[in-house]
Amino acid sequence: MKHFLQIKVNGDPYELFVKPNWTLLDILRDEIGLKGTKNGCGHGECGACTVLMDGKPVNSCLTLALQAHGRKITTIEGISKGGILDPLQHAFIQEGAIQCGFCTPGMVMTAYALLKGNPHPTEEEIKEAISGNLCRCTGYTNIISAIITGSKKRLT
Amino acid sequence: MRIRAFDYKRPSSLNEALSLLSDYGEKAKIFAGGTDLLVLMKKKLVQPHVVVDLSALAELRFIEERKDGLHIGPMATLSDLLVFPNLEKEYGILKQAISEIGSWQVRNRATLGGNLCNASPAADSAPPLLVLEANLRLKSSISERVVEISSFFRGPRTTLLSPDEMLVEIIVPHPPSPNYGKYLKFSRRRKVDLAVVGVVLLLFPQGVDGSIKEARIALGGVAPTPIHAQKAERILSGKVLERSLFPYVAQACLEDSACISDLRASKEYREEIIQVLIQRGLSQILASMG
Repeated sequence: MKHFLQIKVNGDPYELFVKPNWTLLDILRDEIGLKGTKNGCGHGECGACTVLMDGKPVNSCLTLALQAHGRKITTIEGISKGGILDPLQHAFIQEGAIQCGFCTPGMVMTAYALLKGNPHPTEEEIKEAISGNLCRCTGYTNIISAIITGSKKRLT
Repeated sequence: MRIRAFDYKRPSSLNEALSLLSDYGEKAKIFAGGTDLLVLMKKKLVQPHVVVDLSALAELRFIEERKDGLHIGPMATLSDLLVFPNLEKEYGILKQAISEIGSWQVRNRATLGGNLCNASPAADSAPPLLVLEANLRLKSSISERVVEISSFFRGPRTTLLSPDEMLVEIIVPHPPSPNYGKYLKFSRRRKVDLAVVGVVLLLFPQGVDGSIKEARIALGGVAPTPIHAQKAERILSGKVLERSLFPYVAQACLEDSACISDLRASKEYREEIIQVLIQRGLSQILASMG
């Protein structure tokens, strides 16, 4: 039996009928068609599925779609405005923080949320914040530099 | 990873939730943050017929400082707790433990109530709440009771909740002051991993000479439930805290434990780590006693 779900994603309202066993990740990708958010491990350990729920990073693979009823969701597609990349995204490109790109949407979402609450994070604070996002390619150093550069760019 | 289909209920009041539990009993599972339950459901270890989602029950998401201690609602998230103003000062070991759970993403959804009711033997919040002597209010549609946390855990993933009962409040009394506390966790991955061993020490000094009036020590990940290390506690109580005691305290913790080998560590490694963490914790406390 499907249940009614009212949700705002990247500022747009959606009214959907969803099955209870669908996760937020499932509906973002398959019902709404936003493919930026990735399914990595499926059980909340890799962070590739990170989206913001009311501004806070959550693992969308571990959230039932129906638990997001009435909430505001931001995905990676919502970070750029009108095709113009956020300074944080520019920083990721500039610093070589992207190799295969699979962890990137989740990593950017976590970093974005970090910078909103803490515009001048230290390296330790960055490491702590992204400890729920795994990257198999880069070794993290460029990601950390990108977040530091991004924090400076966002303030100018 | 497909989750088997289930009936979904989203009660809009606590009474409605309790009534659902009394109707469905063992067929129902409560959904708080979902960070433990969904993992179990994805792995097909738990397959409820009915899921009772508590997200609409805002009245269960409270954290209040009252005269008799800290009152925490079962839906208060770990992130809610970490930003609570007085947590560090009065309940420092609880804050240390909670910040070791999962990741930022997990803590934004996971609840303290869920961590307790999921009852992993390695649950990080359990040892601190054991030494802080927390009480838990349990409710069903026909009854209510308050139990000591020391009686709550019955075995791995097993509590004394009956199928129609729900945790509705966690009450943490003010610990006597001054006190010195430390929570230490050893895990394979520094973050986002279960504790191989978790250790909490809470010492109450006698006077200014460094003697200990009372010692409370609890361990996670070393027995079917989180445990008090009573033999170790007795060694410290009434003594002056000094290095020569540390190995005896550590050894006594082993006697209270019942370590097993599992995918995370062997029995022997766990026993080694217990001793390391106990001595490290005592060292850190000794240093902070100045």
